Amino acid sequence: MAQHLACNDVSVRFYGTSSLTLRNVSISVQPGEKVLLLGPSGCGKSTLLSVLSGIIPGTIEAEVTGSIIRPASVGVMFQDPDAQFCMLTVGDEIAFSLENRAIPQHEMDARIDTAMKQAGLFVPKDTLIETLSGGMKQRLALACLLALEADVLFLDEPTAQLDPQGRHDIFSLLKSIAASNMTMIFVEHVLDGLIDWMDRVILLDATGSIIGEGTPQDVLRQYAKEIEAAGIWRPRLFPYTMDKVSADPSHPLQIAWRDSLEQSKKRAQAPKQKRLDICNVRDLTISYGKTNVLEHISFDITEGEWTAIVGENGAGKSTLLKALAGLEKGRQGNIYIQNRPIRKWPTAKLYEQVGFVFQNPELQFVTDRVYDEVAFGGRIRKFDESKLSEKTHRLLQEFSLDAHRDAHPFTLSQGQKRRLSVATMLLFEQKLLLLDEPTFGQDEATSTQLLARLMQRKEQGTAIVMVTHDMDIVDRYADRVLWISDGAIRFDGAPYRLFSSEESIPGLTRPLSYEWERRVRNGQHKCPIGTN
Amino acid sequence: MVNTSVRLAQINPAVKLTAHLMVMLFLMMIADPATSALLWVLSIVIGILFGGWNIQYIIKRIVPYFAFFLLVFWMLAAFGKGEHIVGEFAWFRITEEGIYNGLTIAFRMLGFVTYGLLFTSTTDTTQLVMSMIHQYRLSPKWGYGLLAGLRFIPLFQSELSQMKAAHKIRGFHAQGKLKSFARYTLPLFTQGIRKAERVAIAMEARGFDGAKPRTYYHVPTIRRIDWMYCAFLFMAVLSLTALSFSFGWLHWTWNGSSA
Amino acid sequence: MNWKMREVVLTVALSLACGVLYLGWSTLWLPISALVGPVGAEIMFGIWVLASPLIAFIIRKPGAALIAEVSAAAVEVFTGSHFGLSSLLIGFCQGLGAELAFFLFRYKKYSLSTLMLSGAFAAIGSMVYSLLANGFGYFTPGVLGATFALRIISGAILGGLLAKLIAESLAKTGTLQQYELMRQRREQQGDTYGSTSGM
Repeated sequence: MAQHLACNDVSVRFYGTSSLTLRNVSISVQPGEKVLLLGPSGCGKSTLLSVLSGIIPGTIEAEVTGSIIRPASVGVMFQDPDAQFCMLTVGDEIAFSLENRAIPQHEMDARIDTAMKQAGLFVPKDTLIETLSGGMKQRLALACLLALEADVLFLDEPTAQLDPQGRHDIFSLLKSIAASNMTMIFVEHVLDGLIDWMDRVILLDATGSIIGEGTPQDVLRQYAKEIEAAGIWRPRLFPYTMDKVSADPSHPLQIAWRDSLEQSKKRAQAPKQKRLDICNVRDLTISYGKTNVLEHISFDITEGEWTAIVGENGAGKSTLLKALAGLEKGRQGNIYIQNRPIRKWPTAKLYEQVGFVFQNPELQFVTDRVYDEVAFGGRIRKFDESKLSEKTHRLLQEFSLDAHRDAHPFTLSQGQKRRLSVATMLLFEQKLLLLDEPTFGQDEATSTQLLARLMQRKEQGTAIVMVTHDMDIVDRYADRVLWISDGAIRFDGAPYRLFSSEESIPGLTRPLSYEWERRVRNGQHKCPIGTN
Repeated sequence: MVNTSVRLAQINPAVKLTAHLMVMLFLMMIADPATSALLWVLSIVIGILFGGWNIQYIIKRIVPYFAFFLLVFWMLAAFGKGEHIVGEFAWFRITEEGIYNGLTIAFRMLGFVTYGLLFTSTTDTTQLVMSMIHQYRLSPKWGYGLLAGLRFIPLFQSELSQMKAAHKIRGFHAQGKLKSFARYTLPLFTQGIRKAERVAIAMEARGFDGAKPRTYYHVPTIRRIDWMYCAFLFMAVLSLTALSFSFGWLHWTWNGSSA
Repeated sequence: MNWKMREVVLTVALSLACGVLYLGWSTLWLPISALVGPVGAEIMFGIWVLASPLIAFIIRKPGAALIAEVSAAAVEVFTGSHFGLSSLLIGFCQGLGAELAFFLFRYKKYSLSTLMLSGAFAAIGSMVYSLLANGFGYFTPGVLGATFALRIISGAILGGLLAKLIAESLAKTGTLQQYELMRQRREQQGDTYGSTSGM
């Protein structure tokens, strides 16, 4: 039988680099098979996907050896929802796929409708793409691929830039499409909702070689150590099920959940220490044009406190965070930093107290060298050079950037860039550190490393405020969670109290341990009634 | 922003673009204030007749340009050449010729603004590019490449404002040295390069190569109404010019100017 | 000369990024020119011709300079600016000037001096437009001459020199590896893989 999709002994080297990104990789995929490529950041899994789909060396130039077999028609879904479209409206974008296949014009409208329906995209055809949310954009990307009627779909981290809800939606959509006999090759960071319906997982190591493959269960069990060491996100539940874990009190997951619940509860019940206020928000209202993004918000932030701001997209989380840094002006109300209205602070002095880490770290880099980047604030303030150098070195060490001190900030990896942008914000021992989704798009190892550093800072008294969608991080690290909804604070308190409350928390995904706890609680409720 | 229901929006974009550019070139040949003013008024009339403009719209969109009108007028009146001095103070020297030429150019600028606005406010971007492909044989590679790039404009704008905020926090100022300005623009350009690369990859991955035969979802054509609009526009321009000539107002650029 | 899709979108994207910078620059320019007259404000002119030398330097293909400046001007058309169509005409004149500099060296020489020449020629192109459309011919010869001289100097420095500085700092970030500028550099450094590309 002729091969469907395969590569044989393929190696790839990019120009301007000395080492191979991929070495001697051979795989063969059957028609209709669903395959997940897994490996640490920078292991070449995206490169492998690009080689299989023909992007390398078709569009991206690189030195490729070995042979590749692929069907005539393939489609690729990319991670950046803002950089895979070339038209302005939804209908035109799907039509672009059809135009490329030279489908007659009179057939297009019907085909566009079909593709939109399949992709669950129920909007008018003349909707402007820029008005869609990230999740909807990825649905559109899928509709465009379905219109290609490709034999193989390649998916290069299709949900990396989506929030948990968007990710969940896209995975269930893909799963429903997978029922058709389409071959699918995935590269993904977060595996919940995906790995359970894969036929095969291929594991690569950091040097770009295949170290193992098999069913998801087998790979997760057999290579548990390698996966953990490589810092790959592990599924929260798979290969187990909630039923199975609930039934077995000695199951390691149940023990872990019980532990973490215990911890969270203890932290929630710990008596509040009397600490100094760093920041007070009083009756803050912010509006864009005539609509109020935030209305009558008040709260205080104290030294050494870790606050998480959560809520759905567009709830006003980032606006609030920017306001705390004086980057958004309130229409009403006040923000005080160390008891002084934020407006009355001279800019330079304010940012010696408040640090802000943007979602895209590149925007705040201002020099061409990692070392200079950290030292920058001190240089413009004419600090003593020897003291400054001592401090800079300490920060570089703290954030594991010492080895890259002479590199250009833009050439760092995602995780390193994020750590660098945090380090630059701590040169003055800022009292308040604001972070906009600091773990977004990062693998487990780099996220954990960053969070551990922040924890250290918190213990030294820095107040940390971060916007995040990751409820596991909220539960584990935050002392306090602010849930913003419709421009108001819906909840302000310990994460344990939010997650263990009986009320529904729309738009937020409870950590699994709380799901389990609810199950147990509801089960206990049911039992007595049932026996009556 | 683009009003697609009005008559001017039905005109083929490539034809409309050519027609308006021709009128603008014609305006460059006129060297007297009266004819320039008449041709400017014509653009307003067209806006009211075919562009769906009303008084509020004109006040909102055109009147602010009177400041610009005064600026252009002032520059030529105060810095222009001429013999007949009307007044002199500081480094300004106002002459009759300067005033005459200033008015000409100021009306010409207003004309440019309104003919441009007539075009931009009634033209859909996608239709314009498609019509460039079909009527002017622009290669699909450039046409679709341009559309792909246009999606970045709002992205660039928001990035620029985020960058300003980030630089405010860092205490970075681009003023003064050329090198620091170059550094200032760096994030904007690197984002642009990465996005461009990703989009190009995505387009090729969807089977676009700019050379293969392809079909089109939108196929703009040139219809009778397009010729009628051109005929109307050019006739109106020529009639107004003739009118101005009969009153002895008309001056061509190559005849020089006199007050 | 065959353009790759990657180069087409890069040219458009960078031109539009320049166009967005131009928009900001315009708001600075008006008040200054009203005060000091056309002459003084000319010092700021060069930014508006940045796109051509910058993009030609990276892409190194015939037509790049012209297309870049026209696309940058198109930002004003597509953002609905009222200067839309006139800026398209100016962009064309400037782009033509900028292109001429590279043409004179047969698209072989991309040094700082070529870039500055390109900026200066772009300034001349815009001056031709100003004479035809903006009535610059009506200025006194002194004013006109000073305007002309300043504009050329500004074009060479803020256009050409700045383009070189920006391109060099871009090169350091590693984002240009796939483009002609870096390919030629690799070739000079003896990394021959670059020249066997495009399989």
